[in-house]
Amino acid sequence: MPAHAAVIPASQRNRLLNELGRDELSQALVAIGDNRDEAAFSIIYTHFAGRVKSFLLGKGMEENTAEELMQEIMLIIWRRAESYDPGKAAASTWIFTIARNRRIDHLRGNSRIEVELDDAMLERGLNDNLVDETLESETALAQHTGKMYEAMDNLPPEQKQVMHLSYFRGQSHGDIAEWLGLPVGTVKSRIRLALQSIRTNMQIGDADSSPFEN
Amino acid sequence: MTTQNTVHKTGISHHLAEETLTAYATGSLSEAFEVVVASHLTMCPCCREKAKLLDSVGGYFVEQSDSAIPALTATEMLKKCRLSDVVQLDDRTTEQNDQSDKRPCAHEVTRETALRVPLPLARRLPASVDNLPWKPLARGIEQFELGTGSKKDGAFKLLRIQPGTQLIEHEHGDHELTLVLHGSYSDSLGRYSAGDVADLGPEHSHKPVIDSDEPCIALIASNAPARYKGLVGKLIQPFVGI
Ligand SMILES: [Zn+2]
Repeated sequence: MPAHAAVIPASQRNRLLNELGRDELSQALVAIGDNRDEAAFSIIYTHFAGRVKSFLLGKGMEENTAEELMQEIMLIIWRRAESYDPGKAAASTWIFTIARNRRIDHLRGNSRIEVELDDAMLERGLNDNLVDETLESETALAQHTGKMYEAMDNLPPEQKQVMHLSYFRGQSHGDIAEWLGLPVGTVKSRIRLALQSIRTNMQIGDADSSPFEN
Repeated sequence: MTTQNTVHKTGISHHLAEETLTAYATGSLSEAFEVVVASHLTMCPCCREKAKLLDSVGGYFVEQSDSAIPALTATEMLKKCRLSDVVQLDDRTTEQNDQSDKRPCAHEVTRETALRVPLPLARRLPASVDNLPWKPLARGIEQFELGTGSKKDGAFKLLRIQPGTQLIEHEHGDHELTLVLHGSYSDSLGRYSAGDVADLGPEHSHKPVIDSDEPCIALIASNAPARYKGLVGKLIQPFVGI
């Protein structure tokens, strides 16, 4: 085993460790949903409360509101963990979407508009086992998430910076452009390049290549 | 724009730009833009896959972020949680994402008639698309206002344009989304038919023409009014959003 571990490159080892951590967080959400497991909630709260608050503060919310909203988000997690499906989203993704949606609701007083999966107009992909709602198994999701983390870790710094600012800071591309002293067009093209390189990196090594490559 | 040229099995050939999908994922779009984006996503598995990926990128940044200091310990928060199980808290704060909270469709007919539209839009219409109180706007053009109608809020409306109608050449405001729901139009960027979205920034100027023998129905959101060239353009500028 030690001899084997020695040949795993550092980036690969990190990825394995991260996957383990992510798996524990997913299982904690499942346990909350199954039987309101309080120890599991403590794990989730300890890991995510400060991070969620940091997201809200970064987006320009003042301290008291951010704290209040973060507590509401934790309460939503407690009450809605039953609907969490570990085969569909990583714990951090699920919690990010709750925080983002709750923030929108707070700012404008009505919910974010989303696709409804029971919509008769919903167009499903044909041969797309890489696509969202068909990505069912936990193993497949863990692999997918692991690849995404790796792709994000390897993003060129200027692309990662613009993505980070989009999620954790300003409201518009204009805000971000102003902060960085760049033309808006540059901000947009960096976002475009970032998403392209994430997707390209994630598809490397896929025998059944995605129907979506350019 | 790279996003506008890929051909997919769905027949959709004009997609949302990556930066628009990112703004949707980060929660930076207005409600009107969200309606157009969610409507296109309903019809387009390709953009839906990207949107899903961008949600998980949000998870990545949450995971990587420095932690702020929460005011409560986990034990104190748990106490609040247990309390909320006993006392049903304010519905608005805890259940805002439940199906029950969605606007009902005022018109079940929307689910059945041929001129169906995606639910994110259908929920905002008082009647099915054929039975809307369309208002004439210019020759061959009718609109149904979905927004405030105020110029400073940008456009949010449905347009119904008769075959053969040619719109005046115009530039765009800061950002404009046009989603074709029925029929089609063409301009210098290509042909747009049902499901296609034109995701245009201020750099674009175009002159759309309705190129099939049925009316084109399109959903439009913009965050600044389009600027029309020429006198006639100036006259209708306050009204038309495409
Ligand atoms: Zn698309």
